[in-house]
Amino acid sequence: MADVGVHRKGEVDLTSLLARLRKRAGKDVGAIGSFVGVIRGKSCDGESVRHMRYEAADEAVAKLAEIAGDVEKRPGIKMVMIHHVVDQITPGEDAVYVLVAGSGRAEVFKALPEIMDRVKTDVPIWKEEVTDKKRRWGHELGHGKKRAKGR
Amino acid sequence: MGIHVRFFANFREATGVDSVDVRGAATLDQLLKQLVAKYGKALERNLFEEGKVRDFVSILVNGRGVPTDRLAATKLQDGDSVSFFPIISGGCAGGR
Repeated sequence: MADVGVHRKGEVDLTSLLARLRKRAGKDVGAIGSFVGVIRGKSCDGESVRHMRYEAADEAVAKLAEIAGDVEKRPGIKMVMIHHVVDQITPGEDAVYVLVAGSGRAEVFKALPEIMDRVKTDVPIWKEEVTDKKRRWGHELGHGKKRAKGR
Repeated sequence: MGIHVRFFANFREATGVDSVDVRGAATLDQLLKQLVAKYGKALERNLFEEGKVRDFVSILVNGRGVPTDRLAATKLQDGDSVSFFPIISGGCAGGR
């Protein structure tokens, strides 16, 4: 079963996830890679960010599990963890963790950005940025990731 | 009964409701047309640009994502659940 989750702030951290992954992934693992999404203090247009507010629909965990499960079926991938914080998050705090354990670095490095691309486009989690001047939904920020054609 | 439609984020703002039950839409394309007729320009602007579904629109039917070029081919029936939300997007170029 995929190791994924949606959490309130303070319920999850990289250290504990890494410890769990090392325990569960076993001794056939030759590489572990991680991605941590962190809230920046400046918006794309240079405004000071007060916080980001993340929300999720009920289906979010199932979609995260689907993505993790898909990647875990690949040759060379042993285990995938995707954990998202859904809360009001301030600059410097973590929003998302992705950890991948595999037989070697090539498989692991390839999987990380692909997982994040799918998390951004397929999972019903959205965010609102609040700066000193305004609030905007994530898709209004201007330089965001667009859905891959046909998805 | 009917099709249970849920709106999130900007779609909730555009419609002013969290959810609505819709009858008589046999496809996802028909459902979008009914919703635009009911909620007007505010929703239309959030869903469409120059007649095409905007890049940031994500639609789940019974929890599964539907490609926005498959609206007419996606059949609906009473009891289905349809959700509208924006992709998480955001971050500056190359960032989260």
